[in-house]
Amino acid sequence: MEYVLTANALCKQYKHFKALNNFSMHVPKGAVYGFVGRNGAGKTTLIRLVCGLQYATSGDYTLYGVNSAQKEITASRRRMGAIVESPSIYLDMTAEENLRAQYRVLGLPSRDGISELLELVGLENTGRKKAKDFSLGMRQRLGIAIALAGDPDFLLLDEPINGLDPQGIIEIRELILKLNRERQITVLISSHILDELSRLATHYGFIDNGRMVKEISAQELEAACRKCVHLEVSDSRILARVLDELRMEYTVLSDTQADVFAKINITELTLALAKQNCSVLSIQEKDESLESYYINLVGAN
Amino acid sequence: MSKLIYANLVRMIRSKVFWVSEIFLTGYSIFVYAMGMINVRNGSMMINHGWTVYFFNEMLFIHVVMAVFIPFFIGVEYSDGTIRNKIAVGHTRIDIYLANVIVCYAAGLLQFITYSVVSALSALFFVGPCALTSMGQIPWRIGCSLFIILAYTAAFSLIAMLDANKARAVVIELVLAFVFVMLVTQIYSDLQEPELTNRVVMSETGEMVLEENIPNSKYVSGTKRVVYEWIDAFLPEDQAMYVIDSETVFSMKAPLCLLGESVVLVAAGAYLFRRKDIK
Repeated sequence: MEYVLTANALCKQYKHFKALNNFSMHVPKGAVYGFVGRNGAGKTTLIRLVCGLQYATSGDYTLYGVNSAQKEITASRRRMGAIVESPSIYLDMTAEENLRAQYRVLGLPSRDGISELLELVGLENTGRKKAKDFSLGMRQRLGIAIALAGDPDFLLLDEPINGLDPQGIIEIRELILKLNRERQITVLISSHILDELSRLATHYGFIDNGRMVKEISAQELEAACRKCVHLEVSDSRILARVLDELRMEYTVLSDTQADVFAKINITELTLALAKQNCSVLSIQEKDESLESYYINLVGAN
Repeated sequence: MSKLIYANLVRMIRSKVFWVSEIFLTGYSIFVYAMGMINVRNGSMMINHGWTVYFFNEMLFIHVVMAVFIPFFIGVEYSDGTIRNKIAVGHTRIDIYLANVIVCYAAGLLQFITYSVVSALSALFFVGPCALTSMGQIPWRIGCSLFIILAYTAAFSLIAMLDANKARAVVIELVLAFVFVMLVTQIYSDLQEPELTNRVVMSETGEMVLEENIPNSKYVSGTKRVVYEWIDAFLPEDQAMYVIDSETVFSMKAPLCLLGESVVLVAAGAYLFRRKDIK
């Protein structure tokens, strides 16, 4: 698999606090990578490091195959656009003026593309209105337009839907999906709004206390979160035999545990097992969401 | 870096603080010459003498104007977060630092040019050509002014680039500006004391007697004078006093000291900014 961004044993320490601790991650090309973690887990710190705003205490990362220790890392950042925490826009300028300012920073000679970008993010009718008078959602969209000004292949969005109203959330979601599907832009999106992430992400990375706890694709997560009945029995080999006879899909987890992916008649199953001297110790219905998966992964505390 | 300089120049031209400073300098220049003519009419000044202090008067307070403009101009990059856009798209920190210093220096030069042009026009309008022709060593005075503005730019840019808090940077720079004025006033006046002086004493018979060429107890001499002269050469505010003084004998020492000081401040600022964690 081709990766846009990989991090290897990355550490960032602020005085006595380790924001990132031996952190590793792999962002596949073309993915919408949901970067999940509670407040202070280290999400923004990682994005700051990748953007070059801060330096790692130890470890390194690779952006488009260029290691962070190499001088060429600044050139590889030109393929990237980012919004870190809040959108970086001149508040006393209009949307168009902000884009023109970013075009100058990028050294783009013409203004071609500015109106298309404004249209893409839905700000084409803002006219002379200054960014300081924009709503939070409009500022976020302008921030995304500025991040897109250099025609990047990789977009880093730090909490882009924080504080937005439902309409704003939908607009940003639609925009991110459009960028990913129509322009093949890889997106890393950090958030703790799990429900929203689950509508977007093709891959997930779960961070806690500065460490990557788990990286998983959306397909794998779906399989892990599939509705099932968790059974604990005295002998899972007998259970497997009975489930085969009943033509039910299952996964044996241990000598005594298995997950059954079907609606089961408990009386029928219990009687069938009892005939073969296998007793049922516990039955639990599992219906995991991204939220419960995350809680199980990092702990409720 | 040229892209950043161009982007910053456009932003500077659109900056309200910049235009407020330009309007202030224009108004102040006209006010200064109007006051000069009032002094001439009162008889406290001769029509063809002493206009150097009026023409270069802005050098006495340009550091206050710059101490407000520079942290506002650079501080917007931090308060609006746009400095992150520059780093995130691959500009090096040294380029970002130098581009800001260059554009702040350009703003200082434009402020100087504005004051000078309006001064020249005011001088011709209020006084006549003699106000301009009576000034000596104009190239030296202009040259020194450019180095003074460079030194202020280097010092104020360093503070503004290293302190992300715009309001705090303005306060620090203004406090520094006033502290330096007090320090400079003391050093300048000590160095201006003549080695020999005259005094009038009362003789035993009750007559007033003039004693000429006696040693001045306030005269700074020896090592202390050498130290004072070096400090004097490195302080831009002190050099501004020489620029407006029509009696000054110029040398390369002060411009070179100001240039060296500016280079050291820019290098130190760029080094520290390179290591700075930006939020």
